[in-house]
Amino acid sequence: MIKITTVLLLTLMMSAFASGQANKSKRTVSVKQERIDSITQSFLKTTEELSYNIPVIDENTLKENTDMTVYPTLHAGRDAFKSVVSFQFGSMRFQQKGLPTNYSSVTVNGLPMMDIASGTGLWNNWWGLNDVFKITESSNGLQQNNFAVSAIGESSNLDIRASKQRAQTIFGYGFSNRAYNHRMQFTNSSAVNKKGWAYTFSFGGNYTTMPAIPGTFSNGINYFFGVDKKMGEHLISFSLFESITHKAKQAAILKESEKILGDALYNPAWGYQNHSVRNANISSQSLPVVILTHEYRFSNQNFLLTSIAASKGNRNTTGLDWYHAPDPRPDYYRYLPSYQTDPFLKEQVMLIMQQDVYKRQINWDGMYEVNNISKENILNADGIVGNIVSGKRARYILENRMANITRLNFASSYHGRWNESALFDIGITVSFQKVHYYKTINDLLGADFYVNWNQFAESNLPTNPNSIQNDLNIPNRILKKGDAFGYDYSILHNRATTWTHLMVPMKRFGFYVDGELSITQFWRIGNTRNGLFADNSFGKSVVNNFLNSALRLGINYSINGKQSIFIASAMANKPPSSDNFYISPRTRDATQGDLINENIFSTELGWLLRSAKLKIHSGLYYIVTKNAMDVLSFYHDAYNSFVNYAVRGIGQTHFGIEFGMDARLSNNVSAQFAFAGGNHYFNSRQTAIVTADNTAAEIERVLIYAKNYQSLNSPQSAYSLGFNYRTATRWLMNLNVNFFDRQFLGWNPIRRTAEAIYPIDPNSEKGKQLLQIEKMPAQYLINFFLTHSFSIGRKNNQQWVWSISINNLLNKQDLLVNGYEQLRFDFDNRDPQKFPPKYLHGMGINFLISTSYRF
Amino acid sequence: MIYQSFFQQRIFFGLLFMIQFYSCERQYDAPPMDIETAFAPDMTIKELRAKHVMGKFEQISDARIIVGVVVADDASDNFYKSIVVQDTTGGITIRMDGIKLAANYPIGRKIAISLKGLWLGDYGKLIQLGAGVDNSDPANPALVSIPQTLFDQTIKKGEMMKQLIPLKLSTGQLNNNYQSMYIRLDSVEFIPADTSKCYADFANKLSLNRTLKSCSGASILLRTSGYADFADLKTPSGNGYITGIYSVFGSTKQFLIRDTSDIHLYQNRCK
Repeated sequence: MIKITTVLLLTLMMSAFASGQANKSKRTVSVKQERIDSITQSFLKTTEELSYNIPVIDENTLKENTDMTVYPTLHAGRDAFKSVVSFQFGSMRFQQKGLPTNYSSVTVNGLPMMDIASGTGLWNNWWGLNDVFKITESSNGLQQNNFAVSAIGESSNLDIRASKQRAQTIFGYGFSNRAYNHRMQFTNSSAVNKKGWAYTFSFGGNYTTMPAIPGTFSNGINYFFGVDKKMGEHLISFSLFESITHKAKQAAILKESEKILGDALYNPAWGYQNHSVRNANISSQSLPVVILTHEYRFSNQNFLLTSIAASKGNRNTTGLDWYHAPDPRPDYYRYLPSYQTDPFLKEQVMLIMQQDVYKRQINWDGMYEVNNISKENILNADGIVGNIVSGKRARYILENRMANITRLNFASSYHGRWNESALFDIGITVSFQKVHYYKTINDLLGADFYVNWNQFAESNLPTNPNSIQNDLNIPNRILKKGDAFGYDYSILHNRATTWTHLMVPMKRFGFYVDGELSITQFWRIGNTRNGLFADNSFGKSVVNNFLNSALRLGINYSINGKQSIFIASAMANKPPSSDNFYISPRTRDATQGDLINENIFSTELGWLLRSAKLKIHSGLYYIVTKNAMDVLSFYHDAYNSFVNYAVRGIGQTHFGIEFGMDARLSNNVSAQFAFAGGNHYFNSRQTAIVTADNTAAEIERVLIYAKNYQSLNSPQSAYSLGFNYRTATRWLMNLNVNFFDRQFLGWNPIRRTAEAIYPIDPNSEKGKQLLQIEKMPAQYLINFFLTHSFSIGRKNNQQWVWSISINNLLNKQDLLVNGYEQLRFDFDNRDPQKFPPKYLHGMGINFLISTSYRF
Repeated sequence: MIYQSFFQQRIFFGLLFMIQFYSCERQYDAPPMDIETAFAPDMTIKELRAKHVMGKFEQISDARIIVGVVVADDASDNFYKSIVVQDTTGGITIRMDGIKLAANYPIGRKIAISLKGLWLGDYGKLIQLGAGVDNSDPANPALVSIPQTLFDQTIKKGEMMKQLIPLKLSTGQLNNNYQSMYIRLDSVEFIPADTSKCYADFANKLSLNRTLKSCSGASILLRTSGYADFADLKTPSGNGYITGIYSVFGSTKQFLIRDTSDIHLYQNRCK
């Protein structure tokens, strides 16, 4: 009862420019072209903020689609709360409303640009192309949008059509000590000529010479080419773009490593090879996208927008693999001082880690040496009886974890007006996605060959001599550089969605209704026959079908010209992502079994004030999700294998407050204040089916005591106070102090099972240690920004803009961005310190100096 | 790196044209094989063994070096967290706190061990070399294995020897001087009760002893770990020679094979 009242109460406050939109009569999906003079601080910052974060290795998941990067959305900075979230909280990977990216949507020219498997936006497809890819419309949470299928989180629409770009030439350069050092971009857009043609092209790249985090780099090249042809009321647009990236990653570290080395930015992912730095975890992407769009205007108010997109390319991450050789990762727990019980040896181990770089970084030379003496004969090689292959069999290799991606997308939507009194939008989208996952040999590290065997299955050899074969179709396959091995499968998705949106703007009231219906299908195709799962690894799996719907309602009320309130509620269900439905897609097509949809209920209310001197955005949200699924895979010592916990029944509650204020104190000075405070927790117990990758049998079913645990590991409280100083001579200075608190480590559900705890009393000291989630310390971060622009040229029609942004002004070296409990758990002694949490540190003082010249 | 310098020179010029180059994989150099060949022992294994008093622990304070050849490793898991090293004078078991030791210390590899700071001890009179003494159970102090992180500073890896020649001995000749040495025993066979039996209990991971008898009548135990990858195989019934490592447990003489290629029992049993 109390809950219901709370919900009802909550259902009274919030919004950004939603109420403004309600009365807006112009219906376009076009770029809001702003005068160059009004280039805001946020606009300038966008270019680099997208690439602020260095990619990170996530050891806790084997999923292919995981992208830990939080892409800050790019806004014109008109909303007091949203601009702070993007530019001040972004570096701490703050998640608005506690919602991960798969609750948000992004469309380009009306096409949903999302990975169907994971539900995350494909922002990295146009990474760096910020001159063209500007968000033209966005809505926050349940606020109404009229361009696409609604999302519970953020909905963004980008219009990249050439004729919608401002006709100008931009030459930009940035110098930074962040993820990269240099970045350059050249963009040229024409106006629509007499014959109806317009074009835009943009190309650029970024490059690292002196990485902020040792061993990392971020290099990339991007290009965009777009042509539009206007023929009467028809507008036909073509765009081709790609962002090719090459990034070396940072690994999260143990407190112990940080303490031994006195270095919060220690990165164990790299090592020296022949005295040059080599990172083992490099990700790269090459994924060109082509989009064709057609718009037909029946009248100023009514138009039909149709787009089709195709993309084909690949993503790859490298990693080490090893067979009958010691773990090459330098921070493996057995190599650390804490593993020693003898105090003298502890000291010795610590000293050598401090003194010898080969002991604290990856020892590439050592791996070459091991491979060089590893002579072996492989009998019946390549499945040919009597075929013996002899030579240096690799014990260490560098592998490519490949994902070949094919996407086809179609969307068509009609936007119209009904009798002057109602606006409506209706659309369909059809998407197809195929991702082919497999491994190939990147580098044999000096050896002659590798063999397509699964070492974790060796314990099954006496009972099943085929068990070690990764592919029974070609047993004992000899692998050379470039050969595919290990797993090899595809996940295919089809999705068709129809959506509609109706808005009735009245004098003071405006209300809207959104509905959505979708069908999702996915299935797996195995390209190899795994020795352990001979019957369900090869070929096409059963097709899983899901029918989903969403409904959204909202009311805006304009109290007076300056104030408005907003109430909205949504109910939706969505299918589990294929990543979470297949228990171990790398080896077999076993699934969680039941086709269970995730249910989401969300309600928001807000109050908005917009006057010349004061802008306030305040809102409350309450979101409940139920029946979500997840799969966790990790190395289990007792089974000597990767074990999969297929978790279901995950429910979360998120409620909280969002407040943003922008006050003009004088002609030159304004103050900003923003606060995001939330409570994000699991609202139910979860169940898990435990299976191992080295046996076909289900090991056990366990209950995860998750209820009321914090479900979010980004800060649940975030504050920002800032001052802007602006002069008539176009100087702008901005100083923000940000404070973050109530951030908890990413949790390990395995620790919250009876199997993990028993026989330890949950109320004992050790029991509490095992069960409680560590809270990270409260932290603050000070950021500074300065920009100045000049008009030059005879007609003052050329702009030259300079800016400098300095983050972490006080050079706090121990800034913790994130941390998580390792999934690997000490089932023998139940010691939480045996596999302690890992932490990710942010950079000390860091800057970006950028300049752009526009004409 | 090749890739970076390549990039550096041209980054600002014609980025677009570089896309095709860019997507090329960079070629990493392979490091030279830096295998030490100049090993200069200043102590023999026999001299080292002589420093040990059974049941006691001795720390070696001198900066001495022994050089030997690995004669048993953990490739088949019959030896666990240890390797056996011998020179011409004797052999010794090195306790090492790691698995997959054979990747770095395979049979036939010449190694040099810096003794300074290491400890001598024995387990059931089998002399071993370790890195410390664990006194957590005062009644049964135990040798601490060498930590994995310290392997490289303790043990220098050398060249691979072409062929190892076992010392031919009769079962009766075996005594503590031959501990941890690579030995060949001729004209032996499993006693009738131990033929066609598993070498060890693989399912329950239990070590087992099988009795070998020579035609002259002397016998010795063949001990195999339940973790050995050949534990599940059956002992042959023929007569012939076996090679392996001589070991003891107290006054019991034991023989350990590295894998079943050490067993050459193809002849008729003795009469």
